[in-house]
Amino acid sequence: MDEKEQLVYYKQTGDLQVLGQLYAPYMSLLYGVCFKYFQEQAASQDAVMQIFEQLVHKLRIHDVDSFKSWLYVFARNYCLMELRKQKGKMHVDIEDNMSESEQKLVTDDEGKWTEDDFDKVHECLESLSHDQAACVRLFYLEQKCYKDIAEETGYDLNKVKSYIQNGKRNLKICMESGKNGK
Amino acid sequence: MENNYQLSRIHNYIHGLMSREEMHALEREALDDPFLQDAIDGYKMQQGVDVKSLSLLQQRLERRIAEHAQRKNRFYFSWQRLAIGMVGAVMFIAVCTLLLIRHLPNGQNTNVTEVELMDDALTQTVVHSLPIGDAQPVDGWEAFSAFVSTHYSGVNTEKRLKVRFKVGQDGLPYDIQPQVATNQPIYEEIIQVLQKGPKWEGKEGYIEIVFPE
Repeated sequence: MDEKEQLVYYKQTGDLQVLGQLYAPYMSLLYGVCFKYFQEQAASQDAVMQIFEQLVHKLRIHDVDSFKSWLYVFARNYCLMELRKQKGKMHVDIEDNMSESEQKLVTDDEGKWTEDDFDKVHECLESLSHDQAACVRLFYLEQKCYKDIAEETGYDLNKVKSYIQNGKRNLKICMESGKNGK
Repeated sequence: MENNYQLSRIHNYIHGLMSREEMHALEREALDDPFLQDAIDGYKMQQGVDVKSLSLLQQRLERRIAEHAQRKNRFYFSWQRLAIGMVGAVMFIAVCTLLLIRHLPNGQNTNVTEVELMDDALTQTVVHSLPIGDAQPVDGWEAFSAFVSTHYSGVNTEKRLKVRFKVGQDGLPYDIQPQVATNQPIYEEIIQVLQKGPKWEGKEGYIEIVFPE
């Protein structure tokens, strides 16, 4: 059974064994995600189990297309809700997280690039802030890793990451607005 | 498997065990996959991948699933018990209802009987003429019935008894033939009662004596 069949099967039967098979492969990634929010081992482990408990019910009701992205969004929302509940223990910079959450997991509109698009990329790169443009260039065009970029530019490693993330997003918005304008 | 692969990649990435190209590849992957990115961020904060606690977490999940199966069994059994209990209850009610239905009309019957016992017609012997006979008691049927009632012993299995007889010139019945087997005690008794009884008018008697219950 592949993931989709397992989802359908679970929805019909409620067989926890199947849900376990679905869930287990994502546990270590989920644990990482939870740790990012809670920054505590026990709390993160509990969260992983709690998310599973919630899936037991949710997956019997909802039709889920892509389990991985659905699970990610669900887990993140769960963590944010939990943090909101225990206010004061907040460790997370929401701003920083929002920029990432806006990204889509599946990007299938890539592929057909024309000459115009390449020109457009350069135009759009110009429109980015200096930091973002520099990091995006180094990362995408020169294929350097964050560490090298940080060394080269002197930026903090986390800054590099967020420049690239935001730069990529802005670039995409810029490209799409161009397409719509045509 | 894929999961373990990713995990070891994250581990290597965090501990700087990757080549630049590999790092770039993972970073690029993570840019398209926020799930992976968040996981990397998390493990980076934890400063490494703790395989032991992850396998403990796996075990926790397995226990959780096994526990559910047990709980389901428990539920199943208690359902079974409940079903047996329900069947028992239904049968009990059914039996009670049957008993009630049996007893209730009986009670009514005895009541009715009691009421009817007050009725003279049932406590007394009634005698009336049957079509073929023309004989009539001189004092009337009522008086004759009362006479039979008083002189009849009550030892009798018949409820209705037909009697044929002839009436002589003197008004006394003779050739009395109760329509019952001759060996029955009532046979002789009725003959005696009629012989002792009042006189008759007419020539031939055919009467029916209805004894009380």
